[in-house]
Amino acid sequence: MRQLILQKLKMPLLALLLPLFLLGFTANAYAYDADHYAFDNYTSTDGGSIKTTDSSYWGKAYTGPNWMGYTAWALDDRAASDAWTWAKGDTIWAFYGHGRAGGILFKDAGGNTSEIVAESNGNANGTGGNRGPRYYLSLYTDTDISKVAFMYFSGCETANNDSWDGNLVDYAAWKGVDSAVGFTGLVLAPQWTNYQYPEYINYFNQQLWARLDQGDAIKIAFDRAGSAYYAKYGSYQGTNTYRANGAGQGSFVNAYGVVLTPAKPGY
Amino acid sequence: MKKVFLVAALAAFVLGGVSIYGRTNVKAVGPYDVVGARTNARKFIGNDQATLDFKGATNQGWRTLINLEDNRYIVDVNSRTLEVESFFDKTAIKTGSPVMAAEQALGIATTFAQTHSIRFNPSKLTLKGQSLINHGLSSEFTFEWAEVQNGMELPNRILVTVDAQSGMVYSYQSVNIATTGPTAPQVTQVSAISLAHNQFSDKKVVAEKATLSLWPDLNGQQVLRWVIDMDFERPVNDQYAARGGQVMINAITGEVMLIGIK
Repeated sequence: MRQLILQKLKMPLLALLLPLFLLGFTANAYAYDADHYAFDNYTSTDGGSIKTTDSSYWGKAYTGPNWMGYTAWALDDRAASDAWTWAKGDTIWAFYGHGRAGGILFKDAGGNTSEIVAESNGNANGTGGNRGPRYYLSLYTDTDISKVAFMYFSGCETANNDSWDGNLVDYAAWKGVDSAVGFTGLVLAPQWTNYQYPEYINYFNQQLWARLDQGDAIKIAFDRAGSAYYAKYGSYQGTNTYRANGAGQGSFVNAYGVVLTPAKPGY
Repeated sequence: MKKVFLVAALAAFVLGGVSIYGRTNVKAVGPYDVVGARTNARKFIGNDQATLDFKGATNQGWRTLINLEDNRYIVDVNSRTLEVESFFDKTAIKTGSPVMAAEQALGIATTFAQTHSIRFNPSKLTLKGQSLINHGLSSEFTFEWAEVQNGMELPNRILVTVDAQSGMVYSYQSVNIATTGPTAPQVTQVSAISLAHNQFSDKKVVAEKATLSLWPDLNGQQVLRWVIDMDFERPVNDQYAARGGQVMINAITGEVMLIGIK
């Protein structure tokens, strides 16, 4: 009798459980995006032929479905227009490349450069030189990127003020990003060479994403990644000059305290 | 019957969600003396009741750290020596502008190093650098001591950061290694600088600094190296232009180990 009941139950049970299993999987795995922008096509005239694609590789791996649980993309050699537009649907947005006070430099696969800058005070070229189309954080509406939990500008002096172009970290924070982080100092990126392992800022970023995956909050993740960097090179080399700003996530979590794992939406 | 369906359906939904969070353990796995590490960590922080849960171990190549953590502290203990080599006090951070001078912070950091590090010896360690860094919501003074012999930096280091608002020590990092590598460079400083310049033949170097240091590689082998930091002349009104570069050269073989751009 018992066997009969079980046999009768088997098919309908399977029919019910399979879709629910898949629904549970997809609902958790594919709800939140993590975009990582890196470059291997900068030249000497772009500020130096560095390679940062190790950062997007590890960023994608750690934030991806098997680890932190985001839908993650390594978007190498893309234009600023893509990054500016796609940020509106992101929970994590990370740039790894040449930076300056107020701006970051993109170069697409066709060799065309473009910029994302914080704001424009009227000088079309700002102080970044003539680098092609410019996309402004100040032109986002108040809700465009307010669901971004973490916006990371991994490049030299990306947390500094420019008299014409403003401040990337502060503008991201003003637009509602929970935690925006850049560097006030200079950081080192490896010259384009086939190093076997991630080096310099790529090593730092690998360590950073590993810490974030392990559940560390933003500030402690940066500090522990810096500690690992010091252990490898015997110096911080600017990686401890990170600066964070942002609304945080409610009354008790400020921009330092944002935790990204497991995957969840921005606040 | 309905209950069976309900429970099974709920379990399937939850399992579907949870299944993606299974992950490869990236941390080193091994038989670690967690009890001994926790005992030393408790001594270090001065609280023999601190929870300090074992969180795993981190392999940094030349050393493995046992990771202990509770609501307040993160303490990493060297798996071989059981010495505390990394410490963070999460309660030390207080948001706001700095309220203390560098001299006061240095006094706090020095006292902490003297009372917490069995190897802190002012006659052997040189205060290599100090800085005040604004992290946005708070600021920290960082002090870095290094063992220096005949102008060469040895691996032994102690770093202490003090929150500039609370005056509490936020972090302590140390590297304690007996010198086993070569200490006499076969490549002269002049040759190393020349080699470094050659890596950036299209740049005009306006300033440079050469540092001779001994540091372990990922396998623990100590490598004597020249680290040449250079500043480049930059065009007016182009902030993306490379600010400078770094070339790391094996001081025994002359091999260019690493080239970086900033």
